[in-house]
Amino acid sequence: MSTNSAASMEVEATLEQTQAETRRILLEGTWAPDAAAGRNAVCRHANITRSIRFVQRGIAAAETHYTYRALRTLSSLRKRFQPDALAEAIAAYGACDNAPATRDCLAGMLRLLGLQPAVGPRAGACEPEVCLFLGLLLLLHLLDGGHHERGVELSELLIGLASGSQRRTLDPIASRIYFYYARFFEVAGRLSDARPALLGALQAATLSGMKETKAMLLTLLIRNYLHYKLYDQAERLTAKSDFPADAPNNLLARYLYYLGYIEAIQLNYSQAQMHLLEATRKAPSNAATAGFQQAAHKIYVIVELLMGNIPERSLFRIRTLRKPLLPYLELTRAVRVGDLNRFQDVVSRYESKFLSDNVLVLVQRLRHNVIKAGIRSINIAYSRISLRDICLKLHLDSEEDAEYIVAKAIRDGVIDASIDHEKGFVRSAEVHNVYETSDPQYAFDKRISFCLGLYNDSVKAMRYPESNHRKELAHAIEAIKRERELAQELENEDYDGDSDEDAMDEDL
Amino acid sequence: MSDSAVFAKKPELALAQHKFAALNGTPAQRDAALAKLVEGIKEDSMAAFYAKLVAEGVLQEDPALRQQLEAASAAQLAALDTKVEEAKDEQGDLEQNECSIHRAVFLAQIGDEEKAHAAYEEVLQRPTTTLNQKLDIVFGKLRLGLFYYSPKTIQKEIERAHELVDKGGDWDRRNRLKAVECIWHCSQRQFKEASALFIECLSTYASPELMPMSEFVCHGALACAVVLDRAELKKKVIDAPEVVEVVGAIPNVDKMLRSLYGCQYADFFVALAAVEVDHLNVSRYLFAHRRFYTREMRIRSYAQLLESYLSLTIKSMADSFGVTQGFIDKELSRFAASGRLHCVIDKVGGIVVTNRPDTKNAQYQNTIKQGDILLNHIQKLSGIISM
Repeated sequence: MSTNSAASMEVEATLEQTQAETRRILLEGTWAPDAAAGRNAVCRHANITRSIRFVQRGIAAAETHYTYRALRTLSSLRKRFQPDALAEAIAAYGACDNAPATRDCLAGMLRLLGLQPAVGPRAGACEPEVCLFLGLLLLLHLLDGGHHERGVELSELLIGLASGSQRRTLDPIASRIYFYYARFFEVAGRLSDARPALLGALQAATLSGMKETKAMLLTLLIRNYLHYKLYDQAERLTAKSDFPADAPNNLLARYLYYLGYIEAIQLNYSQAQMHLLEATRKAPSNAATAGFQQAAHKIYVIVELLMGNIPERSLFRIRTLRKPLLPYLELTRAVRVGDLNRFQDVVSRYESKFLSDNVLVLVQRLRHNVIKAGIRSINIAYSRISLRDICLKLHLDSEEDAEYIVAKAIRDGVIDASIDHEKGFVRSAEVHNVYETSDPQYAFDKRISFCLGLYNDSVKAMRYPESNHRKELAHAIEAIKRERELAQELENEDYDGDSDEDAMDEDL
Repeated sequence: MSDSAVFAKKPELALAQHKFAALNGTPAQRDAALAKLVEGIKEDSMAAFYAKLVAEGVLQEDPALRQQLEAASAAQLAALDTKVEEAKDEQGDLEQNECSIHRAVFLAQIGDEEKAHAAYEEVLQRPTTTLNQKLDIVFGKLRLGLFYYSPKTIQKEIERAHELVDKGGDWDRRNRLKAVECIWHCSQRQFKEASALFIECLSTYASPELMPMSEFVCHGALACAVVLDRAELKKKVIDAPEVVEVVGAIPNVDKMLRSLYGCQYADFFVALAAVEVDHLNVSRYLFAHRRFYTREMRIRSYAQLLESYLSLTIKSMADSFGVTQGFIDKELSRFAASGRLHCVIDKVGGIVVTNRPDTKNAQYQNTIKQGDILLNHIQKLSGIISM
């Protein structure tokens, strides 16, 4: 029996060894092989304590990256969650003189867990951040377990606490709490009820300068509006509020995606294309973000088609995108060829898929584009072509139709050509030497400014490496202590024996 | 028994080709292929392969044949097993390894994929196998992979073979590896690498177990035709002595290459069609790429013709290719619109005008395109900046 649990302990040990560096710091390397379940809970409790200590250190040093580190451990804590470990932690922090709001909050959490307050060692004062951190862990547990109503209750409790205090260090944790607040409402189906609280929180966050919360709330509100198809309101929100530019990349990616979607609906295709492309670039492309990349790329493809460009074939070959984007590939092919029948065929075949992706509206606008794309490719290949031939190639009804369509295309700027009406042909204007225009200048300027911006951002984001600093600090403190001892000895001129002071600095 | 005799000529790759022809060829080819398939199965007593074919529906189930095959293969397997046991008791490491290799080769011969791979691996991991034996085993596994066409196996074994050969393989095995790799690249549409390898190993081709020389030359020449430019094509392929030697077996390929070189485009089109029917549709390595291949060759011929002209009439172009004007118009508009050909059609005047971009513009377009790819990659790196 003990060997079984020893084996399972070992499996856990190796599992953890493969986790990120943060977790390794959190782990104590000295587990005895005779593990019992209680010991597991204690170790998890120890991990929770370690994460909380990171949070507290963040508060003390007013540096956000400690808090981020603690938050990164959340995903692993979530997987190994045990209610009694959390109850112990709550008990440790709850049994002291906190502000009444915090105390109520903690008590509420215990109630929702359905456990009695456990008796455990006290661990000191409980800042709101710590309380919220524990609450976040509980929220994740409830979400995983599907207890939506309880989750709604708890999240309301937590945002009450969060909006009460206005500490900057609350920022990252609070933003995540708001995310789960909205999420619980969404899965419970009552999204519109969340709106007033989110709007109030947005106001508060803007006033108190909590950038990350503000960014998160903006994305949540836009998502809210888009869920109910209130495109005008969403657009007005984005126009009136300014998204903090230094928000974390994942929030920025989300925001750009929503922005691109709104702009696409509102016929502003060039902006939409720019924003969607940025969104796909800002989000990392690994297994966890595959869903986001797929969604963003779907809309990107449609917007490209609406603008008259054909997206590159290589886009569809990316492994994570291949299957979800298959209907869009068919769509691209139909549009590229310029065949209206084929296009209709594809649309009717994949209609349900487009509906579930919320792009049916955009796809239906593509009808005009099929013809436009056809005209464009003709324009590139032919310097002069008669209207009759255009008519034949695009399967249009009459030459007059062809003339009107080509005229509209020229007017819209899709092609660069002129129609000779008496002789009945279209002549393309050719630009052989692009250096005669100022296009190269603009293109290079855009790219250079992007590179410079990136460079500046990287320089601004540099930090001192921590462990070296600590080592140096430890050495410095030792050196100072030794000097002091030496000075004392010299003064007293007698030998008192070794000092009892522990020269080892504790790790945290 | 020397190492070099254990060449792992089995499983017989020709049978895989027959299976492919049976599935994809014209009805006449299909019958011939089926007959040869059954013959080959009987000769090698390939019980497992037969079972697989029946399961896939290529052959009809013949209980008598099946029993015969199973009996024969079981008997031979038993004989080999006893030999392995004897070797273990009596003889030294070298003989042991050889007997085990024989056993594994037999398993491969009957087409039993999983067991053969397992047996090969087992011998490979033994510390007593010599480098040459290891190489032979890797080649054996490669053959199995090629027989059942499993790309992952083939890729892995090629890499392993490279490592072993670098450690100290002899020239013979090195050349064999090059030949196999050439064919592998062809089947993966990597014609550039395939052509480079083909030219290297053309003079030293000695792998009859892979495919007959004429077939190898055929594949290699087709790969080179897509990739090499005109002068190199003439020197390295058309005039290469080995190619001239086997020209009798592959007349269409030769005609195609010569007509392309000699700018006889009408003959070229005819030869291209013949090549497609005779070689592309039939070879299991090139089948997936036949449309790509014919398209690329067509583009090459158009580009070659247009290179010498500032402008020419559509009519004369159609005549030199031996096709209708409508066909030329469709093809040219398609390729010009996608940027493969540098020309513009003046439909009203009935002429085609070439407009090669001068180097400055071409470089500019290139810079923008490649620069954007690079910026894309860099932006992905910028994801770490926020924290």
